[in-house]
Amino acid sequence: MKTLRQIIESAISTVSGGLFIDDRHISSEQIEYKADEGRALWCIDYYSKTGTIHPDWIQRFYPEYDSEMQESKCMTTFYCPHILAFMDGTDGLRYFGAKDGYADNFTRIQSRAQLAAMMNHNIMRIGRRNYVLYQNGIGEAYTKTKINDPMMEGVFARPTEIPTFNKEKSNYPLDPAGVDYLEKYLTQTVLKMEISTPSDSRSDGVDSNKLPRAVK
Amino acid sequence: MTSGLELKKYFENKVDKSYSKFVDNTKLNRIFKMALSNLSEKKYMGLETQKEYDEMRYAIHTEMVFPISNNKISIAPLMISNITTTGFIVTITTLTEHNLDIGQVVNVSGVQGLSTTPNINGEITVYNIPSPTSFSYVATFIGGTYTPNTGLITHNRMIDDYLHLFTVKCKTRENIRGLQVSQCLNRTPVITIFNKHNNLATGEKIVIANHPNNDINGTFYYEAITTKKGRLWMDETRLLAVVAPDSSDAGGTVSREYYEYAEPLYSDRKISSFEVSTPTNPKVQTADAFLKFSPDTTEITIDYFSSNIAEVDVSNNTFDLELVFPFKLLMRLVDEAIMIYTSPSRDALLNNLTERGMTP
Repeated sequence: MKTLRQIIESAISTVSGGLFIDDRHISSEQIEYKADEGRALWCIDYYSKTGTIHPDWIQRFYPEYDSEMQESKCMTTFYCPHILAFMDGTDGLRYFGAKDGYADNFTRIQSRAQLAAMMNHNIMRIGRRNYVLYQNGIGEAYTKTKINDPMMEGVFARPTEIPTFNKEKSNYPLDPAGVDYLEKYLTQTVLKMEISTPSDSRSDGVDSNKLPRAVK
Repeated sequence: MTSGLELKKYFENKVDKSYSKFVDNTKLNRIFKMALSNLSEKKYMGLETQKEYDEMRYAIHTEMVFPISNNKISIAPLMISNITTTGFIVTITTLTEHNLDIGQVVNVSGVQGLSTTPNINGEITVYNIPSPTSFSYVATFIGGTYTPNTGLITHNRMIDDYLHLFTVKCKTRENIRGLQVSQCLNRTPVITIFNKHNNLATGEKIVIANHPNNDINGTFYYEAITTKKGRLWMDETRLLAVVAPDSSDAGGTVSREYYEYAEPLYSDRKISSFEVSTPTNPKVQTADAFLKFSPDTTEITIDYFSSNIAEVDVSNNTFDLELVFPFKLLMRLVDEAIMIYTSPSRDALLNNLTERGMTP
């Protein structure tokens, strides 16, 4: 297993003949974003072929309660990191529920319309369990009692945004074959292009390489 | 032994003796100075193999540690533009921002016309800083009148012999928002339990401050047990344990210390939203006779190419230049000097011959 930094340095070293040098023109942040994109592509492709989610991709996120974020007494709203979506409608959210004791996996509601229908259904309303609606980085938990220490497990779109992930020390959440794919992806999409494209390294406000401009 | 006088003989041997009569010692010293500058630049550009590093061994400085004030460090001596006196206070105005602190000791040299006690051309202690380009010190005696634009200032918080940057590592600190130690368990070493999950990892250097349990305030090496719990060590190898009593008082702050290599930041790249400096990815830029760092940096470890190379004095026959430069480099220096000498004299034949037979 490799850290994100090791993956990026390995890819850079590969294109620069075994040396890790720092005369790059693409910033580290940009390469990190590209690495996350490459990981997403690998995970989606892997899932479409095998129908499984590799356990190495999964990270834990502990949502924090923020009283200022709450807008209704019926639900508790949390900020949640974005998750990956797979081919058949499955997505990266694998668990949302209590952390301690017997795990209580909240029932996933796919849309607000579905939630409304369930809440208005005579039988479902009486026998309701804990529900969670996740949309675009926001999780809404509809629970019967107070939530203690909620936890989320999933395949997140940007692993580096998870507060327990350490860019320098944590293993990047990708299986070994995926790491190999990712290094090649970085080499082909970012680093080779950088080497083959002369950079406008002069700070004169003029594109001295006269690269072709986009045609409207 | 190869003295400056010896170099002059090598020069005269290669250039026709009668021809070289046109060059007096002052002119030859100037030529050798230019040659040395050109050669060091060429060697700097060609620093690829161990050979070049060996040849420039006195010009290459590595792992030099400097404290940083206001996220920048001077890379050239400060020029004095004016000195005024009021009572026993001497105020020195510098041409550019000085970046000094009160109580700092600086070295002044080359000031003409003015004499003070302590001697102005020596070590003085900064007493007050009225502006970014002026500072003052206290003198018990002041005499004479300052000759404007004379004098230079150096101090141990500047790199006065800086010429080119190789690499620089920045010590930065990241405050972890909202993270506090909520409990301590008296074990060997002490176990700290935090108020929330975090990404502190084994081997990282953390700083705990203002915690009610004073034994855990300080800089420690961390060993993660879970995302909420970890051990504290005094040393990186985790041999010396931190000892502290049990406590369940929450409080204080936790920050993390990084010492990472900085990437250069050029003006035309600031436009990119990706070019953001972070504690794990610090940036360095050269401007206003400073190396400027971001984010907040307290110390640097720098590898740089020095401008402080021994000068050649062709009248000196006592100082052995082989003590600072390999003999081969001195021969290359003679060739470089001949190239400089022959170009303006339009001696194409000598120029071509020297170029062909130049010491590698």
